[in-house]
Amino acid sequence: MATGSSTRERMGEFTTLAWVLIPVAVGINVVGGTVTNLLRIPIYLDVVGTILLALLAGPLVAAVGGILTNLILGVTRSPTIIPFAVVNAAIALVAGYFAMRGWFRIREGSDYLKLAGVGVIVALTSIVVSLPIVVTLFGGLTGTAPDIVVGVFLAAGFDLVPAVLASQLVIEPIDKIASVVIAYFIAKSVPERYRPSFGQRALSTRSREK
Amino acid sequence: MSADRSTEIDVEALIENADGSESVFEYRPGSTPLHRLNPVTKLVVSVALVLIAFTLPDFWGPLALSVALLALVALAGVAKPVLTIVLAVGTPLALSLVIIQGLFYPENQTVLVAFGVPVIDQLAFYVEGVEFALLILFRLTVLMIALLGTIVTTHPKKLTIALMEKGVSNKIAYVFMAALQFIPQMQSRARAILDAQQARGLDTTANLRSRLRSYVALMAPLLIGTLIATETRALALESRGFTRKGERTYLLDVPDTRLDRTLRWLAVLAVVAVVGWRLWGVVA
Amino acid sequence: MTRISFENVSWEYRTGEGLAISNVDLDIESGSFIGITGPSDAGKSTFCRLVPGYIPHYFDGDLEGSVRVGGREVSEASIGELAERVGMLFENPFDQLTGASTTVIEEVAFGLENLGLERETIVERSVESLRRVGIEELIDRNPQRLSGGQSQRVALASVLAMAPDVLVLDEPTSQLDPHGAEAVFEIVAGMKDQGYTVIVVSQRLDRLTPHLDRLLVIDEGEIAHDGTPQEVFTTPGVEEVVDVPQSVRIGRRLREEEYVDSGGIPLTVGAAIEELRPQIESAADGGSAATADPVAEVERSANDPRVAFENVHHVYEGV
Repeated sequence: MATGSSTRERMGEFTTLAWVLIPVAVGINVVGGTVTNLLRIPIYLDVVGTILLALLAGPLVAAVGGILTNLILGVTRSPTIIPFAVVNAAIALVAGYFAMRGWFRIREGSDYLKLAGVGVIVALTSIVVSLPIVVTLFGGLTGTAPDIVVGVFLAAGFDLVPAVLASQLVIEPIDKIASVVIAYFIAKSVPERYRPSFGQRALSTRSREK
Repeated sequence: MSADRSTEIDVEALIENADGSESVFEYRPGSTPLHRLNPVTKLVVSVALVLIAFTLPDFWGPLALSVALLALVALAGVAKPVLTIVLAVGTPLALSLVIIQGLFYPENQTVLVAFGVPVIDQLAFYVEGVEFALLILFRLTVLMIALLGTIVTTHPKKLTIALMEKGVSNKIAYVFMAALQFIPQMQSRARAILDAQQARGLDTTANLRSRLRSYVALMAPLLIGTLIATETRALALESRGFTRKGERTYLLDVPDTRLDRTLRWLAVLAVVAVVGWRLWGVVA
Repeated sequence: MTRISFENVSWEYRTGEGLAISNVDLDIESGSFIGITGPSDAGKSTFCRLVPGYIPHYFDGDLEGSVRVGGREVSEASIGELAERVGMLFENPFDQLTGASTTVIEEVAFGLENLGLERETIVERSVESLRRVGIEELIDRNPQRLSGGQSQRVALASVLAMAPDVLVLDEPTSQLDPHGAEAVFEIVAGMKDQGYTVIVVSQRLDRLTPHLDRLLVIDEGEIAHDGTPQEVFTTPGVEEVVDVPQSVRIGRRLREEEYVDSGGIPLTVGAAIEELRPQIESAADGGSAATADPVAEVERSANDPRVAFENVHHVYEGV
């Protein structure tokens, strides 16, 4: 194999396998959310597919999967989900970047902290990117449970932006750490030969090849 | 070969009226002018209307647009599926917005109505908050009705063909169609596994830890099998020219008429006009 | 016409251990019907992947030697180009569909749209392919909702629509119920008369054996046997690596026991019955009931799968 891979290769290529994985990731995002509902697990787990795709096929492929997830949900559930495609894409880019940097190569127990680290960073990304959307397009409220938190903060005299922030700080980190860990274990369970080459590199625990 | 026989087949009608489609796509077959417009025209006009709604400064404009759009989808005979979703999503949002913004919007000054409430003495809804709530609400109603109107009057296959004819990659069209088909399939499989687990004593009220375990036990076999199957699918797609460069043709003809082109230009002009008017107002 | 030749071909997967295929030298005549059998993991699927160019274009690894399809070096043509000569049918009837079609006609037309053919040609060729595999009536059904046998025939129609002249079928019936397997076997058996070069891999070739021009046995990555089915099945020791059809076993026993002394080994149940008939007729009246049994047994074992699971889910309690 060639030494020193091109940038395109390192970012993960749009191979046919990558294109075929995209609808699967979208399905995982959507069904993952439904299943947590059925099992009454109080977190969303609705970006597991995006993070899994970022791990297996790189940030750019995952970004397409993330955007497509929101388009599909927009078409099948409610068009109001479409603007949040930006958030899903940002999560893909961040998770894919850390996959490139080797944060998913787990060799010893303490390496799991890296997964938690990625989870926290993904959560922050999600909060920062969704904040302007929630505030400008939705006036801070989305018709869901965290609205109550927003209401409480507004009632206490806070401005809209910090109120929305507070509502998300509670649930996001837990949700995203769980999502990253689940995505990691799913990716690990896929036999190596079925992983795209990006995923083989991102998860390889062998010492670096020349 | 009986070529003359096969060309008699009306592929379009066949695809549009195929029953038992497992797709979650809420397409309603029909032949109204709205159904017949080029899908790209419907998308462009929808996006233009959304942009206009989000540019207009108070709730009257978005309200008028919402009413007009509602009349349009009613004429196309698809008011019911559109309203079902608008109400399902819009009602909790409307309550949330009117109550919370009406009561606590930071710029609230003018009291609209006030109630005497024990303990906290008085609860007042303010004009500023309610107007802000209505502005957001009707903007979102425009977004929902416009896009849902497009979705329920457009077969997904035609949508992707129209997009590819405008230069969108066949791969994007593929992932869109494949995801639409794949979700209900996966959902029913997940549900089947869950039912089986519940029959065998899975407790959805058990502690969180064991429910998380159930989540993994449920998703893992489903996902790993699906991920392994992608190899065969990728090979089959390659053998069917998926990555071939060059001209492609499509099974269905999706006409793009002069009316379509005119509507698209009008939509762009309308956006430019409204944005220009707002900017001019800001500068002046 | 399309001739396939292998010259000293060896292949090793990047992730695998050792050579999956080694030193294969082979010529396949245009228009011939070739069966390939052998133990599992012996390299049969790898062999199949060489013909439509999946190796070396899709799979990573080291290829030595040369594979030519119709004079074209496989390693120098893309999978898409080769697809117009070589059609491949996979084992799993559902995974090989695009997953992006709402109706069967869209599924079959998918490849033709990518070739950029005229709309009328696409419709004609799609309908004609469906007709050939006998499922014209499924044209407006959702491909995600078909049975295994139906789905496999839709996949075959999609392959035929691309108008290849070589068909490679990798275990085309092993995941189907008996009814579906029978339907697919029937279509495949008829492909030779339509001028196709057919390569079919199966661990159980019973049903196709009478149609084969040539039978190859692949074992541990090498071609262990190569000849007519009669030659291969009568090679001493061959039963160690392949499933010898019951009719052949009966024929061999009949010869060993010297009930029959001439003619080719029976490849079908029918031929075995013909060989047995004189024995049955010469037997006493009372014996006729007893001799009816072996025939029935032969027939049953030729059609029944041993164990068939379809879409089975199982999760252990407390996991």
